[in-house]
Amino acid sequence: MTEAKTDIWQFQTQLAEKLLAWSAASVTGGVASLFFGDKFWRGFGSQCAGWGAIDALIALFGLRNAQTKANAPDAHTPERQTRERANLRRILWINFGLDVGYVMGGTALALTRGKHNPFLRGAGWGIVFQGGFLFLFDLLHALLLKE
Amino acid sequence: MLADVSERTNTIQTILNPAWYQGHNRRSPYFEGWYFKLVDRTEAHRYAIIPAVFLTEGGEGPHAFVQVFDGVNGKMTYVPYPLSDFWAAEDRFEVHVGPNVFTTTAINLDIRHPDLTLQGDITFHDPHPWPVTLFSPGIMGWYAWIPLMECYHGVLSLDHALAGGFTIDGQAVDFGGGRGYIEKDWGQSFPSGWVWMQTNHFDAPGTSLTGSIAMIPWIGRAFRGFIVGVWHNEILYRFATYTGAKTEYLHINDDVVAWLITDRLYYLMINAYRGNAVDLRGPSKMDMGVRVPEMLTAEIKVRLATRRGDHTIFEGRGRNAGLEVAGDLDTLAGKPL
Repeated sequence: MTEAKTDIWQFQTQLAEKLLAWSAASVTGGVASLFFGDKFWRGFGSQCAGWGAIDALIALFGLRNAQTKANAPDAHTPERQTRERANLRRILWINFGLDVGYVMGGTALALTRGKHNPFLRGAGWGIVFQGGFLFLFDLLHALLLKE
Repeated sequence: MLADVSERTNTIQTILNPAWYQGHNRRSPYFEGWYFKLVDRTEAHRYAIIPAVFLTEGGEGPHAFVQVFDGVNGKMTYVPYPLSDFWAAEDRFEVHVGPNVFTTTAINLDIRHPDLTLQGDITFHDPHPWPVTLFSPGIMGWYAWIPLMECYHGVLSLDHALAGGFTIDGQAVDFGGGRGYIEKDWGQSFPSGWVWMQTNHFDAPGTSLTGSIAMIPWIGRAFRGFIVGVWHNEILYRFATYTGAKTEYLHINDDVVAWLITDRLYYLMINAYRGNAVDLRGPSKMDMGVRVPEMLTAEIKVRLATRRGDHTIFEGRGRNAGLEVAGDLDTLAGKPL
């Protein structure tokens, strides 16, 4: 029994769409916190807005990339799909490793320089929040991309 | 407490294995049926074999059955069995209805009915099930996790080769080298209106199309949901409400179902040409009284292409297509897009 494999370009597109939705929510929530929050929430919101903006750029690049690649002459051959699947899986696992670093860095910031500075404490936990999401996001999608 | 945990674990396991019988611990009204499509190598014999169980307090009462649809001669035979003759494994897909046995890899039939005698074994080689993941356990996507939906759907094999044969009313029919397809439905009743189509007989072998669109009751309202899969060149292209795909149009008349679906990358144009339908029996909450006009003689023209560049990924005409166009079609086709 051989489970059917889903189209890698649709997978990449849906991955980017989910990241885009997260980035929109992050930027909206982050900007609102910057305007209406106290020092802690301004720090937290600054990270959400910043990371959300970067995520949006990455997602838009991913969408464009999938659209372009889906038109390549060999885009719909099993060999190319397998290769791209392996590439995307590798990128997700590398990102997953970086995400661990973000979470640790954010925690360190919150607990050290943020100890007496509410803005930096908020920024630190903001990094943990964004890094934590990406940690789960990258891990789950890497696992979903079965061999 | 331990029994509760074990029951919940079993429920999760069955959801992650859509082929398995999902009805352990279910009460009436409930139905579950598997659809085995078998087409021999010459395409002169086309059958749909539907084993099912139906739990109800109304009508004929709870019972199991095997429905045999001869798609060439347009003959339907409904063979009922007492509920006690139904058995389903809890840890795999294996279902017995009377002396008939059904699994993902074979069916063994021994039907003796005044209108039909059918005996024999057919095995399935290299079935290709719809992928199952934690967040998308089969063709239903994440909707598979939603309890109390009216009807669930599963695709157990998009395409596979057949071996073996049947003796049908005394005539031997060899299915060796033919192609098959397996799916299933379960829940409380069929939707109020739906279109379903399937074919894996394109000029390019190893290509399969399965799709359905239906009115889905949802939190006191209803929406038009659809799921379509095109499996071609070992790649499954999914178009569904839950993937963000959109139905651009759905036109239904007496001759054709024309359906255009798009997502961010592709468009999928489907024209299903209707043949003569025969009424199969489908479940309502009360009885097996829903008329399901079905045919295995339809043809489906398909074009899958990229939106940017209009690069054709697949274009073909599928033969021996299963097609059902049933229920409240005005609502289905007329629903604002």
